Amino acid sequence: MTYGTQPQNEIRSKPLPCTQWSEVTSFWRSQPWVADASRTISRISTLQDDWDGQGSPAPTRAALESMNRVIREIDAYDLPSPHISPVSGGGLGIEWHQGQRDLSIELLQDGSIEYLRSQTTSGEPDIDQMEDGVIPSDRVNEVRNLVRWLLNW
Amino acid sequence: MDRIGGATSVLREAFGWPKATWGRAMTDNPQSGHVRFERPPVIETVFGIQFQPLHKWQTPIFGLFWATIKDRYPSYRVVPPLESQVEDVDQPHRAMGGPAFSILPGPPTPRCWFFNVPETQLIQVQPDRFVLNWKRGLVDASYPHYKNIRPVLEEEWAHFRGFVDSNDLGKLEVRQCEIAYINHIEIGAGWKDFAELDSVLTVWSGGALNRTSLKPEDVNVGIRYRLPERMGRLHVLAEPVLRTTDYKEVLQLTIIARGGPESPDSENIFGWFDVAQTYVRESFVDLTTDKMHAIWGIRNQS
Repeated sequence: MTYGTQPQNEIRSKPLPCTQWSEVTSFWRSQPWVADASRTISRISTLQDDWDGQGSPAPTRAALESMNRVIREIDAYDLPSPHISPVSGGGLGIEWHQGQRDLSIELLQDGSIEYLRSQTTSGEPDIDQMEDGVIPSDRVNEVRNLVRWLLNW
Repeated sequence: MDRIGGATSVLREAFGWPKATWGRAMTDNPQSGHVRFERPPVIETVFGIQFQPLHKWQTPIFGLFWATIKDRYPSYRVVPPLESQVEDVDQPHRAMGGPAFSILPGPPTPRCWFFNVPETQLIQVQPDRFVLNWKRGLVDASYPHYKNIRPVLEEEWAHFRGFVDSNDLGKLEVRQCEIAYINHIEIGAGWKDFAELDSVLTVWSGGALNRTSLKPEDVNVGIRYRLPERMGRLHVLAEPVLRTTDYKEVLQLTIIARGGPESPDSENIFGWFDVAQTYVRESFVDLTTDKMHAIWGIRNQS
């Protein structure tokens, strides 16, 4: 990626580096969807084991940390508010619907990241655009490519 | 010393400290005669010194510097550099963050973090900045009061100066000092949401709209004060944040004093820190309510 081809609104909306060491997500200095997502994650983090009545463990710290890393990676993008939910087995899911495109990212209990992207054309699933895969934990920045696809950049 | 001396005289009058003991009180015992809390909400303190860029400080220098402190700060992280933020007290404050363009002779030199193992102490370095941070660790660390942090800051600054001198990196021309106290005020302890923020902050009257019965969902408070005797500005920012160590939503109350010492010698730099820390500390007491003081375990000291 080069800055010369990066959309200006992405650069401007990134919070400036500051001297603070403690990691926080500011609700006022972030994109609106980041604030919404942060509040949802805060609520989900309080879930206990058997939160679904089916014996599922509470979301693990590794899954929550992965979710935080994913959001930090893309917090400068102007996205619609995602749907965030716990998933069975101690993981978390985050999903966006943008026009005819859908992006679903799952943070598994061990912190690993899986995704599924899909698109409909004329109301029908477009098989050519459907893709799933795994993002290694040391390459979280690849989530940006998925978001760019979602935004059709 | 005129500027600092002038500021201290204003403080002396404001807080009623006796004139004859002022200078000694600030340097020998900065904590005397003020409010303390048994459970203060401070989670991080920041002490920064900004100077004219050291053009010889290129990327390999970070490694050389790290080698001199690695026994105390064995971990590191490379982060984007801080922008220059210099208070011009002769001009109205201009907000940072707008589009800025500059022509650089080469790629920007990054900022490096060097931190200790319990992750409670951090040194940040870039070609125009030296910053010392303390923060509460994952294993709860008690808050080290200013009188305990100050000697560490003096020692680390002296070490940094010595490194710059011995490696012939240029003259350290100090432009500005900065001190920040970051407090996390937990929702649920004395207040339940931002409609009750007036239970926390004295400067907020509630924000409810009588005609429509609307109550605030979120509140972001920003206040700037000019410090006396041209010593800089005091910035206050209260905002809701998600704390990512435990995913709790808290009110982050940040109080920052920023300004330039009269001269770059250590006596003036640390004189500035002493006075600025007093402003930050006393402003925190003023900004927060008696109700919260009781929750944090206020103790008046003589």
